[in-house]
Amino acid sequence: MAPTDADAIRRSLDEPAAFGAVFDRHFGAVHAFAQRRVGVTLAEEVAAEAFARAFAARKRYDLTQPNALPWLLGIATNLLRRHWRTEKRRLTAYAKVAAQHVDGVDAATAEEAIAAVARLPRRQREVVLLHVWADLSYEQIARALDIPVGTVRSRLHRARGALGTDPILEPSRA
Amino acid sequence: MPDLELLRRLAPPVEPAPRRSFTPPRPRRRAPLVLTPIAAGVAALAFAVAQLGGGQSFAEAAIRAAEASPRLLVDGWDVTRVDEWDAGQGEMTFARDGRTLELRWPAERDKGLERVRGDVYRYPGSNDFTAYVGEATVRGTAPSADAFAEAIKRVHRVSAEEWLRALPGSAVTPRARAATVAEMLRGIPLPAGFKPPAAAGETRDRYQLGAHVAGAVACAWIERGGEQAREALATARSWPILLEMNAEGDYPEVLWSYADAVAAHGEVPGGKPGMTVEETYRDALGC
Repeated sequence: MAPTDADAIRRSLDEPAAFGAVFDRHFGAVHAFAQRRVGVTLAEEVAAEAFARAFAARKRYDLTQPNALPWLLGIATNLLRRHWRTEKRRLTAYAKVAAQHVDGVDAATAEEAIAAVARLPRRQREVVLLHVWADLSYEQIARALDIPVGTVRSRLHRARGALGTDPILEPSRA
Repeated sequence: MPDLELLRRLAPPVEPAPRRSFTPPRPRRRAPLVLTPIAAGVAALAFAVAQLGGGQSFAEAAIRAAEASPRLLVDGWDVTRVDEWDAGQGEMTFARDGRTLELRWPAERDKGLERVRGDVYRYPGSNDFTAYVGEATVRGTAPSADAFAEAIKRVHRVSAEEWLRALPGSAVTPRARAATVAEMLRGIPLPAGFKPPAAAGETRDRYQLGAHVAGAVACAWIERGGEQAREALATARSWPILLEMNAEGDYPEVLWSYADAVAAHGEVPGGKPGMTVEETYRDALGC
């Protein structure tokens, strides 16, 4: 079985370069998530700083968790908070062109969907975007944001209400 | 009506991540610092002066920092906001007759734009325009491409002194930083020996500087720990700078949630098993 992220982090406590395995495995995903939220230029800065902070904090990583991506995306989410103005501008602009990237969705529907995300309170928006643009499960979002799974569910529930959808909870994905 | 599956499908397209490899940073050695506890305001000013370097004048430092910026102004438009969060990175907002322009450096190129003319682009079907002026991106809404291009013609580079004079009251220049930081610290209990965050030489937006300063205080108390720290952080909802900032953004709410967690004896709000305030506060508060 291939070494897990936890294996690499454990090894990196004595051999720092071993953290490179975590970097190689997840830099793309962290960069992509940041890029979706704040654009390609800031994405590199955010992703690089997320890994720098992760490396500095690796002694506190929960080694019972084989996959470090939720932890890394949680660090990136914290970093992205300082760029809210940029993110809001991008969401507002992207709303107008979003339909171009999806088949079968009219421009007005796409614009309202993205604009609705921009209007969400921060705590709900972060949970929604980790779920839909980083593909994290409820349990993974809970790890990323250091909140209980119940809190994830309630924020998604309230976000669905704000987004105008039927507030029925989705089954959790492992 | 939008649903989560629709949002998933509407995820913005992304470019491949640049090829990078990881190099572990070298450990840094820090000299131990010993400070005699003195009045916090005086300490803040003394420290700020020391960070600007002994006999240097504030004006020299401000001009040197301004020289590192693109120093662009728009003729006939007022600067309403400026923030440089790092060397060579920042943004400005200009306003005139109810319209706004936003300028950001370094330039960032968005996908999905259609070229209108020359270096002017537009989001299709909208009146949101973008242009690339030297090392900066300029964005704004205009009734037409001609009107936007007319505004872009007014963008010009100025001297450091002229740029600094044009900045709004919300901009905190290096010259004003020490006094502003001291003012932001008023009404906030400080741990003995507290050192405000060092000046980096850039001009900061007041809100962003407030987050930097209030965050440094909260982090210092969390690191100190104990009953005195809990009592100090319990006052966070009355800190004047946070009350001012709360009308503009979310940072105060983040800090207050950590103050509440410290009052609950170190548990993260909601209590994720095994994780404490001590293990998460640096990322959350930006220490």
